[in-house]
Amino acid sequence: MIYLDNAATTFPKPPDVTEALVSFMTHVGANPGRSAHTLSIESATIMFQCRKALSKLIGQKDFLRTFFTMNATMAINTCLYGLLKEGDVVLATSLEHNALMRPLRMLEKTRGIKLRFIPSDVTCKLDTKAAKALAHGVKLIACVHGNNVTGALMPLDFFATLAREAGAYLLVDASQSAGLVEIDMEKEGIDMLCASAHKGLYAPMGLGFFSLSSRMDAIESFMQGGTGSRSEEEIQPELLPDKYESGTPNMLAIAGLLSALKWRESIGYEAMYAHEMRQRTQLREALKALDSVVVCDVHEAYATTGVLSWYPKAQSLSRVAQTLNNQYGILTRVGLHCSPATHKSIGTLPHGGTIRFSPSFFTTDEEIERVIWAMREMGQ
Amino acid sequence: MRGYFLLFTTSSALYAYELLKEMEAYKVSLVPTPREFSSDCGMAVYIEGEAMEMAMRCLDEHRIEYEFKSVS
Repeated sequence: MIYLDNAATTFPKPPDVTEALVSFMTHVGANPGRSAHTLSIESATIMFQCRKALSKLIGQKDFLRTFFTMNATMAINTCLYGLLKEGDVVLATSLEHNALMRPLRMLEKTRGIKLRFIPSDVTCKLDTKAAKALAHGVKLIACVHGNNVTGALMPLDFFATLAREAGAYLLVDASQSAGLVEIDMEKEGIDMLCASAHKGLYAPMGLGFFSLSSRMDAIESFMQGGTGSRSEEEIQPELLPDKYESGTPNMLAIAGLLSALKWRESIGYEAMYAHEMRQRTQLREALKALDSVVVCDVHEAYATTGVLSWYPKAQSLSRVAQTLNNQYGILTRVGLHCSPATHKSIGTLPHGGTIRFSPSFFTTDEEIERVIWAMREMGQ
Repeated sequence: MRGYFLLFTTSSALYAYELLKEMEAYKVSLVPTPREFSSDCGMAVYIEGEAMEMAMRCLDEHRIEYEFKSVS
């Protein structure tokens, strides 16, 4: 099998990650921060070290402002529900994933927030002139960094300037880019950075995080409950990170993330990005040479992740994906990728979406060659 | 002198423990928060050594909130 669905979840994980999970389950297994026995301290230390390493990776100097969640969706919900009040205006792009779009639409309905969207062309190029006009009076600019359909990397520097000039906060969903491209919250003026851990960070599923900049006032907690701190009080503590971390965390995934962060540090951004880009380029060139498919290209001004989307000109999308799976053992993601807004913007909604190829650091060049061979054979 | 640094979160307890241990001037250990000092269900830093104000300054510099309880 050739797994090309890494934009959903990277697989396989580094062997170190699997070992960390087994080690945690075998030797630790206890709840962090609820007791002070040996195993509880060990568990809490893993979480502490993971929080520090993750904060370092994203340019967060105050690691107590990085918070673990179940996934990126929960992280985004926590930020939006914690920040936005009735009548607030939010500016997003017309390329957002439903992880951001759906809570925004719900808040539009329930809290009367106002939404504005920056238009994009079919190559994901944003209309920056329109964005400047739309940014006036907004409280929050919220955007995805790496588009999960096309791989387009949105211009964070532009958003940061826009937010600064508008006096707005900047929320970035870095689920597709965290771990693959360098992100420095402080340098890039990001106030709320949200991401999942199971994609480019190569950790297990069931873990996400958000991090708040020093200029960001504390937002309301989205969920309340036991934290192991201020236990005599029935109200949620304001202490960080406990305010946003009620209940027992996914320590297996956190142990896995800590191990994954050490692994990826030994490889570095350059090698990881170059690997994915080389494979994306090979796939793109091969697909462009086929008459039977259309490749969803990204504007040349934008860099990309390793993600590449395309659709067959004449055949059914799902039938082609099924053939790739059943006949060639090539595993892809087909459809709308939880991002109908992107498909609407790039014109692929009428086709039912696209087929997405997404390699990872563990995808071999031989596998890419086999995919290209299969595509050529299918095209004949 | 010996006593307990009572911290208010597990993260700050571990942070304080790490910093105080790095100073190499004290004997420090993580212990269950003594019930006579706090109802928190977490951990405290037990410390032994001289010039405790140095340890306090270190935690202040790192903006860690604490209470110090001296014991005889």
